[in-house]
Amino acid sequence: MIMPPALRKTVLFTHVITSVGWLGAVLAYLALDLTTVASQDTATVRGAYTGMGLIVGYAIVPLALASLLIGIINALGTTWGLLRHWWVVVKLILTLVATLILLQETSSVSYLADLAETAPDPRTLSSTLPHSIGGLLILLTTALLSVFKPRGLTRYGWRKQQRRIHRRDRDTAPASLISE
Amino acid sequence: MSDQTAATSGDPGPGSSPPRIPRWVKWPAIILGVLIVLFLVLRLFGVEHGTGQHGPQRHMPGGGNPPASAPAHGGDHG
Repeated sequence: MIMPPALRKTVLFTHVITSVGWLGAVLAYLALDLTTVASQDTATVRGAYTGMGLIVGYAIVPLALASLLIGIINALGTTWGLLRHWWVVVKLILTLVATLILLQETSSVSYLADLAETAPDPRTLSSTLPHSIGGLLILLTTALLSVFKPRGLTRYGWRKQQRRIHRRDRDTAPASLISE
Repeated sequence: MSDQTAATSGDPGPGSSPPRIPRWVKWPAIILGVLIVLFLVLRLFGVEHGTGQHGPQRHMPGGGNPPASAPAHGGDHG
């Protein structure tokens, strides 16, 4: 079902805001993650782990879930569809993978934040840097796909397009041809 | 994240045969597949990611493994 223009703009606006917010939150997380690796100051590292726990729990996870959900609504409510164009399909897969890994990692980050509060030397805790960098790369890729929209119809999208064209041809054909 | 519509996306017009998977999808998918297989093979042969565990314990100092001085699990029971 195609959304009316005002609703479509609202959904699109919310999708852009949540997606960009997710990207920004990951960048903030990455800055703290780098601090845990690079800093030699125990208090700074302890604070960085606490900040990472807060950012994941209160910013990254809610924004990721909102972005995924609103992105699906946005696709289904426009002519793009969810499975008609390869760039939408690839973006959906990447977002799903990023969200699933994020949800799996959330408990680890919370655990690290708790551990850093009591650990005598939080610098010995391992970092989540590979996951932050991986997540950032995935989000940058999805942003690129959204802006450039590389061409390519899926088989499903092609069938839909064919059906639409046949219907349009039938509707515009002269009445005499249809009755024959 | 844009207001561009599908009608203006530059997709090729209607054809008689279904479209193939575009190159920009195929090659990254192949490369990703190879990397995943490589990762699984490395894991299988003992080159672990991090400390080789998933879950919070892998972030503990020592990767959640007991320190060398700790008694072996189940060593003194009974």
